[in-house]
Amino acid sequence: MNFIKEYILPALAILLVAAILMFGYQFLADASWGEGIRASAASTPPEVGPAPTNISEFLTAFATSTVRMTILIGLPFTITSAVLKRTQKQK
Amino acid sequence: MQNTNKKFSLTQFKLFLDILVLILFVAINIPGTTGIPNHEWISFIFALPFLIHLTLNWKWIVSVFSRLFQKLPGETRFNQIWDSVLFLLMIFVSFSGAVLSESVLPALGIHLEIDLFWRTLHTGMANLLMLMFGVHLTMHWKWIVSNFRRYVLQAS
Repeated sequence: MNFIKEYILPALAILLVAAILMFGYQFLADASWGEGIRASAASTPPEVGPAPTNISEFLTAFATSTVRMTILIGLPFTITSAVLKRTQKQK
Repeated sequence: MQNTNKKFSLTQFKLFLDILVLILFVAINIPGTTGIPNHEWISFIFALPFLIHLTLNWKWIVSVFSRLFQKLPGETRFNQIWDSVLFLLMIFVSFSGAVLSESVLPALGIHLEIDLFWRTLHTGMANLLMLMFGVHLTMHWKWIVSNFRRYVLQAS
């Protein structure tokens, strides 16, 4: 009973909120500004190409991904760490 | 004594789950390396540990949201807002990715017409999600490092 209350019900609540959000997001696609995005997407090639087929393609893709991840996750991580350290020192 | 053991193992479980979430999150966000089919399969698998991650932190979510209009410490308030936006974004990216599925949904017998509207937003929002994830990671870094030292480094 405790397990249901502590874990199953919260999981169901999270899934319910997620489902409601997804339902809401679907309305975004039908909004008038969706047409503009659709038109620009049609003229833009997909950002991700086919999967690497040999080791050199794989290494190139891996290097590009590593740089991308370092910038997108590492940079905010470093900046926030520095800000946190500074604010904790001031306290 | 029994209660202490329960808490101890739950923290350990949380730590290993968070490490798994981090590994899967990184794997999802390198579609150029993994290829789109793997990207999709990993994303679908990711949904389960992500749901468990939220469920295990449910008490914190409830305690923070029950004090929505009350005074909270700055860091807690920041986490409350940041994590809420992160959740909204995660659901958005998951949903927009699911409706773009070229491998997983067809393999499950579900064939959706691909709407280019979702493709643009999925890519843009996934990049934003990574930036926000970096900050989320920092906010909980102390907990991760201290428990990693305690349960992984000291145990080995």
